Amino acid sequence: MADSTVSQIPLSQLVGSLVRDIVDADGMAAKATSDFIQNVGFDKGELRMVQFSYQQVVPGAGVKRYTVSVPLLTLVPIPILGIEKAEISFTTTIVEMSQDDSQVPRLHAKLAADLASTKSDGGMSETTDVKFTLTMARSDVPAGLTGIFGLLGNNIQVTGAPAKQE
Amino acid sequence: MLQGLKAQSDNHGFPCPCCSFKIKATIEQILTGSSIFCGGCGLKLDIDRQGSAQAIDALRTLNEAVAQAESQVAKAKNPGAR
Repeated sequence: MADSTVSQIPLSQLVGSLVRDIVDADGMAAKATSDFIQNVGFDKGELRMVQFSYQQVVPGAGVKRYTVSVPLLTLVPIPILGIEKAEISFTTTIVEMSQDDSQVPRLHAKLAADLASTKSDGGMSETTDVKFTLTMARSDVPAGLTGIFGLLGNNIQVTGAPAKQE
Repeated sequence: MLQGLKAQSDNHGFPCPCCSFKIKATIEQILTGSSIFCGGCGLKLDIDRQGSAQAIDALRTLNEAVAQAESQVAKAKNPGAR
C-alpha cells in the first residue's frame, strides 16, 4: 500500500498541471509569432518598408511614374501558430475522497498500475508514461492581429514622381 | 510551420494602387528584384532595391534562417542521408 500512497495526488493537480503546460505551450507559440513580427517587420521601432515604382497613364498628362511604399509585413506570410486541439488521455484510480473547509470534495487519484512503469528492482517508479496526443495547427487570425493588418494597410503610401513622357 | 511560412497565403498581400486587387509577392520575387504584376489590372511594379535595402536584408536573413531550419528538419527526418 506504500506505493499507492506515494503516487497518490489530488486529481485536480494532476489534470491542472497538464492543462497548464498546454496553455504555457500555446503562449510560447504566440510569443514566436510576436517575435517574428517584431524582428522581421520592424527596425528600431519603425516599420520596414518595401518600395515599388510603377507607371500609369494619366489622361492629359501622359505617363506618370509613381512610387508605392508597402510595409514588409504585408508581403510576408505571418506564421500564426497555436494549439488548436489537445487530447490528454490517461487512466487513474480514485482512491480517496475528502472534504476540506471549503466543503468542496477533493478526489485523490492514483495512476493506474498498468500505466505505471516498473523499476528494475521490482518497485514502482513515481514516473509513468502519460499518453497524450497534441495536435498543433494554424490558428485563426486573432482579433489583435487583424487590427495590426488594418494599421499596416493604412501605412501604404503612394507618391508621385516627376512625370516621365515615353 | 516552415513550409507553411512559404505557402501560407491568407494573411499577406497589399492592395494594388490602381485597382485595389490584392497583390501577393513571394519572398523570392523581392529578393531577386523581379517585377510583380497585379492579377487584377496587370499593373507592373518594379522593386526599388536601393529604397528597400533594409527590408531586403531582413528578408534575406529570414530566408536563410528558414532554409537552415528546413535543412535541419530534413536531416532529423532522415538521419542516414547526407
